[in-house]
Amino acid sequence: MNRLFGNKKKKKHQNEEMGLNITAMADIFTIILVFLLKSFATGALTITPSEGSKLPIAEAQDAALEAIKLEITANTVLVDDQPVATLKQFVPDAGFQKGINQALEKAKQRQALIAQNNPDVKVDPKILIVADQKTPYNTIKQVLASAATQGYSDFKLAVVRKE
Amino acid sequence: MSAGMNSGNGQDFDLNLAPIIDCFTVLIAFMLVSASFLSIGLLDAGVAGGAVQSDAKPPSVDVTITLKAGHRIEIQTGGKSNEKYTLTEAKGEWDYDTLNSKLDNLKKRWPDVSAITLTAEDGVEYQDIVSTMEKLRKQMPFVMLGGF
Repeated sequence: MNRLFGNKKKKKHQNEEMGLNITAMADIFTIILVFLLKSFATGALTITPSEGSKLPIAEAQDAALEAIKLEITANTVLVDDQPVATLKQFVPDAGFQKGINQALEKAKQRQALIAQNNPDVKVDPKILIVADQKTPYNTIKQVLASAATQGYSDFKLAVVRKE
Repeated sequence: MSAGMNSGNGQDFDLNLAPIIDCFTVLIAFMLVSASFLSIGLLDAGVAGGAVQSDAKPPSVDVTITLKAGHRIEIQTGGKSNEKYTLTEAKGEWDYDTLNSKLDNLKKRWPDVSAITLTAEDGVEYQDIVSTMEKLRKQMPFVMLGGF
């Protein structure tokens, strides 16, 4: 009887555990890690635009640079990530240049103080401009004019490199 | 002898991959968080009328390019040559091809010209300025921003 209908009580206990093949996972992780290490090593310049800001696209050289950063977004102007002036959809407010001048003057004084005490450090006229691609030239002009009056005349415009 | 053959002198061992996977997971998570997938470059731009090298001989001709509303480009020369050209839009875009050919002609006539002043009307967008600078740099090494 048992042979005719099969032994239903004696079900083969199927092993439901699935062995995870860790070797394949280690291979994948190694490849992903090598790729990320490679891109981590070549990204010397770390400029992160503010949220909602899109940099213009152009062919440019990739260069590591240490300089004071001046960022122009739709509603703010930031110097070294500190807001110093406000804009309304890229249109400057009253007192716009005063805020920028004050911040850049402070930065210049700080540099001069460091240069006084450390002969290896010189006052650097370089300034990094990180501006949204829709910024009108009128606003750019005013910002650059403020920077130039404070002695920052070597402008480096940050762009997204065209591949 | 048989004890020696079956003894634990074998150098085979099972590599425990679990801690290696743990390390890789942490490293990959760190790399992903800190990775920047934007490749950022830098364009040099000086200010017209700013610091000028005193030992440099001034060029015979000054070239000023103005970007105007409606994708119009105005080329103006000063110094030994006083000329003005206005380029209209090309299919709704800036006419960079004609601009390049005009600059080529200028360079042939005045080979010592190496700098251009780029300026624009107030409403012209920054992306247009940067794109024009990028095109001009292929012809002239120094592109300065003007209109201050």
